[in-house]
Amino acid sequence: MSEQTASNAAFIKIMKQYGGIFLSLIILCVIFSLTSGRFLSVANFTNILQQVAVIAIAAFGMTWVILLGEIDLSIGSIIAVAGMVGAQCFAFGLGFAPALAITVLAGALLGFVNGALTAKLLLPSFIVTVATMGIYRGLVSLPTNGAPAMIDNETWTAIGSDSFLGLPIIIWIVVVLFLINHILLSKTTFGRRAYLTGGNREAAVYSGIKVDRLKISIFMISGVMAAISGVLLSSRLFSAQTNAGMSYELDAIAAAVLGGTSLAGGVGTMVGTLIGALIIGVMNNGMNMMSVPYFYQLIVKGLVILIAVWLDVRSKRAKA
Amino acid sequence: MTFTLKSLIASAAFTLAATHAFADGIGASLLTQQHPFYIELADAMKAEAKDKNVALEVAIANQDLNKQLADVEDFIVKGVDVIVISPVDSQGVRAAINKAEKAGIKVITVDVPAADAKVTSHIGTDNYTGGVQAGELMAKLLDNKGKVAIIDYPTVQSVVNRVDCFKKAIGEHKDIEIVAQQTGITRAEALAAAQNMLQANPDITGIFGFGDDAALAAAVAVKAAGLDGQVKVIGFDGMEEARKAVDSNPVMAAVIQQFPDQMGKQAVDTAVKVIAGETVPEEQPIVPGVYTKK
Repeated sequence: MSEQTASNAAFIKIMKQYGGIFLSLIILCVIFSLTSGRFLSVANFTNILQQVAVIAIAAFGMTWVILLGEIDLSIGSIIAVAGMVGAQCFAFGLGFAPALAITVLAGALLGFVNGALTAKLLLPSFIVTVATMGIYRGLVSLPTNGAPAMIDNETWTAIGSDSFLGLPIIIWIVVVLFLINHILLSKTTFGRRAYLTGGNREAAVYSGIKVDRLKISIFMISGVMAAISGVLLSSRLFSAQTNAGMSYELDAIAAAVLGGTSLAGGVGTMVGTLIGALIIGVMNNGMNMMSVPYFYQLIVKGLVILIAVWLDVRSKRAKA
Repeated sequence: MTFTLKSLIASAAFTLAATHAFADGIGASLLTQQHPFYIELADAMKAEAKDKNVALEVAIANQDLNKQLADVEDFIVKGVDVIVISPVDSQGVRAAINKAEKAGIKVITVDVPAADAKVTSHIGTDNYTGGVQAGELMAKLLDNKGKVAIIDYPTVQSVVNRVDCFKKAIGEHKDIEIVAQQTGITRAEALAAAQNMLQANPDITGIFGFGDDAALAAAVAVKAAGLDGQVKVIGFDGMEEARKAVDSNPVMAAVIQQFPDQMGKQAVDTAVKVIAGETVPEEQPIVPGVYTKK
C-alpha cells in the first residue's frame, strides 16, 4: 500500500468514526463565521481554546469513567477543592511546586474515595458521587467560610495568563493532557482493559482483570484531571472561588457524550471528547459573538447537544 | 482528498477572516439576570443606551466568575469601546479587568467594586452609608436596647461593607448586642439561617438581612416562630416585593433602598463620556434611601 492510500484509508476511518460530530463542529463554525465577522480569527480561536480548557480536561477524566459504565458527578466540586487547596498551600507559605503536587494529590485522593466507595462498597457511582459532590463542595468552603481566597503566587497565575511559543500555556496543557490520555486509552494494556471492562464486565472478570483496582484507578484519573482543571481555573481567575466549577460535571458529560462516548460503557475516544468539548466552547463563544441573549443561549445549547448526538447516532446506525 | 479538503478549509478561513465587522459601543457583563436588582439595572442601561444612541450588548455571568471572564474575553475579541462589569467577585474580577486593560479597553464597574484592580470609574451604592442607615434605624426601632441577628453573604464585598457598617452603627449603642450572624445567600438558605438563629436565641428583637431575599425570609421565619410582636426586620436592596412587604407586614419594618435604575443610567452615561475621551470621576457613589411604611 502506498503512503498516499494509507493516509487516505486513515482519513476515511477517522471520518467514519467522527464524521457526524466533526460535521456538527464544522457546521457551527460556518454558521458563526457567516453571522459574526470576528468569529473566524486566530485571536478568537485562541480565545475559545482557553475558555474550553477547563471543561476539556475534566471531560478527558469523565471519558474514562463513562467508558467504564460509571459516572462521576463530583468533578465540579473537585475543581473547586483543587483551587482552594492551592490557595491554602500558598497561605501556608509553600512554593509553587509543592503546592501543585499537593493539589494534584488531593484530586487523586478525592477520586480514590469515589472509586473505593463504588468498587468496594458496591454502591452505584451515581449515588456515591452525588454524595461526594456535596461533601467536597462543603469542604471547599471550610477554610474561608465561603469567601473566595486570593492566589498571588506568580507561577500559578502565569499558567492562566502567560504564553509559550506564541500559544497560551493553558492550551499547551490541554494538548499534553490530551496526548497522554489518548495514548493511555488507545495504545496501552490499561486502556484495553478499560474498554473490555466497560463493554462486558463479566468477560473482564473471567479474563483476569482486577476490576475493582481498575475502577479505583479510573476514578483517580478523573479526580486528577478535575484537579488540574481546578488549577487552570483558579489561575485564570487569580483566586479560588468556593462556587467554582458548579455544574461543570454536566458540561464534561455533554462533551464526552457528544464525542461518542456511550453511557452504557465500552465505547468512546479522547479524540471524540476533545471535539465534543470544542463544540461546547464554540457554541458558548459563537453565541456571544452573535450577541444572542443569555437565556436563549441556554436553550440553543441544549438543542444543539440534542441535534449533534442525534446526527452522530444516526450516522453510526447508517454504517452498521 | 485530504489536500483538497485542507486547502478548501484554509481558503475559506482566509476569506472569512478578512471580513471584519467591528462591534463598537459598550459591552456589559452583569452578575446575574435572576434578581430584580440586576433586571432593573440592565433595563435602565438598555433604555439609556437607546436614548444616547450607543450600541450596548449585555452578557450574563450567571454568578460564575469563569463565565464572566469568558464574556469579557469575547467582548475584547469583538472590539467594543468600553466594558461595563458588575463583578461576580470583587477580587477574582481582576483577571477580566487586566485582560481588558491589556487590550486597551477601559472598564467601568457597577454595583460591586473591584478589589485589586484599577478601573476607570466605579458606580455603586454607598454601602457604608447604607449600612450605617440600617444600623441607626435598627437602634431607633429597638429603643436602643435588645438582641440583633444578621443574615450575611460574606463573599460579596459590598455586602461585607454594609454589614460591617451596620455592626459599627449598632456598636455605638451599648445596650444592643449582636447575638448571631449566619450566611443565607438564597431565600431558602436565609430562611433556614433565620429559623436556626431564632431557635438558638428566642429573645432576638431585630434581624438585619443583607438583601431583600434575606429580610423577606427572616420575616417569614419570625411569623412562623410566632414572634410577630417581638422582632423587627430590616432589609437592604428595596426592590418592589420588599417595599410592598414593608407596607403590609408589620414585621418587615424597613428596607434600605438601592437605586439600580440610577446606577444603570449613570454607567451608560459614564461609558459614553469615556468613549468621547472625557475624564470621569473614579468613584460615583449613589446614596441609598430608607424606605419605611407609607
